[in-house]
Amino acid sequence: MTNSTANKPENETPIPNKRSDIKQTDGKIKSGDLKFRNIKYYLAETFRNLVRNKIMTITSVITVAACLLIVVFSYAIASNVNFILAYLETSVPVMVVIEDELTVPEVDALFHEILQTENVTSATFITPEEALRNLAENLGITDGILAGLEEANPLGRSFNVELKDIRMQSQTVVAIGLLNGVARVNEASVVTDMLIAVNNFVGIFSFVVMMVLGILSVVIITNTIKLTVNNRRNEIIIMKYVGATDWFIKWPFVIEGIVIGIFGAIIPMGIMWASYDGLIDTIRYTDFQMLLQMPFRTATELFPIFAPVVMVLGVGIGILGSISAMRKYLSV
Amino acid sequence: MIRINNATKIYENGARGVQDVTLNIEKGEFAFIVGSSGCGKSTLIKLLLKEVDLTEGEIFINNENVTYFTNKDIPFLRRKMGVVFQDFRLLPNKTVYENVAFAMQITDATNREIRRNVPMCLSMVGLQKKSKAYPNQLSGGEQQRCALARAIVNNPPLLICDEPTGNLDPTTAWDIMNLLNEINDRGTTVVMATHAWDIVDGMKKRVIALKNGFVVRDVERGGYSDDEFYS
Repeated sequence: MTNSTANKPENETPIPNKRSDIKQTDGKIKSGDLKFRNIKYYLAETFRNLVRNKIMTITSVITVAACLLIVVFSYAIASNVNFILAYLETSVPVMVVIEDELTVPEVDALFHEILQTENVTSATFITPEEALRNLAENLGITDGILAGLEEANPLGRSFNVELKDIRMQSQTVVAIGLLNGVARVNEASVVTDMLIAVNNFVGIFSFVVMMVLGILSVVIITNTIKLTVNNRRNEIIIMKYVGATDWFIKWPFVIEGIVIGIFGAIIPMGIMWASYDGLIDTIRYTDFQMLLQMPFRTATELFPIFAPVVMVLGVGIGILGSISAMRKYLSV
Repeated sequence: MIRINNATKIYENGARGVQDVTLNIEKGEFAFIVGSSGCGKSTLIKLLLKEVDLTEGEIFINNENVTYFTNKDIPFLRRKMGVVFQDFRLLPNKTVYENVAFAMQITDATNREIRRNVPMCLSMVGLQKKSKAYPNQLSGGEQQRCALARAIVNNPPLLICDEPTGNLDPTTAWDIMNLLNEINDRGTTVVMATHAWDIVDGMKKRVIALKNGFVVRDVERGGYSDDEFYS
């Protein structure tokens, strides 16, 4: 019929005829989806895809990085507000002004009663002279304007009371106010109420931000990988006809998602590491004197906590994105 | 090798693919499936590949009832059959060698087995000198040879061909048919859907003719048409 027979010098070397060439178990060839030699193939395919679609790859990495950067900063704010709140619990005391006519033994008895009140850590007695000196210091007055007041000091005797939990300040103030010999209790409620409110807001805000940005990142990665998958649709169909399992086809795309996720996580971590301490210094040295005394978390303290979280988030977003992109393309 | 019992396929839009088809293709047979466009040839091929599911009936391949195979089982079924298409369906960004090797890569084949079998198959189809070429650097005939090498590299007991000569000139088409014949001589069952009456008439193999989804003729050594050329 044709000359094709003449083109077959290998007539003496038959095509693989041994059934043992194909390993079979229970009638099915076992898939080596995650064998070392396959991993090499998956990595090569992933690299090829990433390079082939480099614009989309870069766009995805930048988007994931931007989302995770906002997540990282939300976390940093929430963490610092919590940290400051914890500091204030011990450093913003409640001032308990005692009645002028109280005798020394009565003051001593009141001191013990305050210490026994729930949520109280410690109490320090402040004389009127100390109170005046503290006031002058807090107001930054050094030129003796208050000198005249030393003779007729309007400030009375008081206790500075430190609390265990600043969120229970109101209840503790009421309890101390009911004690005999207490003239009034000055609480730093404006500051603490504001901090508690800020803390709650930041907590809810960062959660919402994380959720929204997480979903957004998944959608973006899904679209990027969908584009790749769509471009390679015919290849996927061929692979399916030849007998490739879904996971054999999926792995390169999943690894692609993971790579995008990892780079999307490394960038915000780097930005955070490089800029965080400088940013905190900028905040600290604003005109608000109060901020100078506040403690802030350092980058070295925050990094071990957020680095793994951001990495897991990045990788998770990558995997979710790639799997959701693949789903409808494998039904051949 | 293939046993089809009362197979009927009705698509979701109501179109009838095959109707009440009962067939038995023995191991080592060469069978042509012929008929005009829309007669059900492609549906039959798709059913064998488990690309579509039966509406009624049963299909056994290699004594295994594949009718209710799940998506998980399908890749393993397809590895036991080679497939050749009219449009070759080669991976465009892989060389000839890589295209053939890929079919082994997805199975548990070791690199050693791949290095041994792929050149052997490429030699058999006469492409050993083009192993580094990409599909777009090959002629239609060469691409089909490459597809054939890929189909037989895992030494499947069954080879399914859907119009494998449809895009080829007559001489090249006969080259491919010679190769298929040789593969069949080595014991592989070949099922080939085709429109090429000259090839069917020239090969003198079993012919199963379909019309409107029904098997209207099944002749052991038949021709393409009803003329009963060999009777």
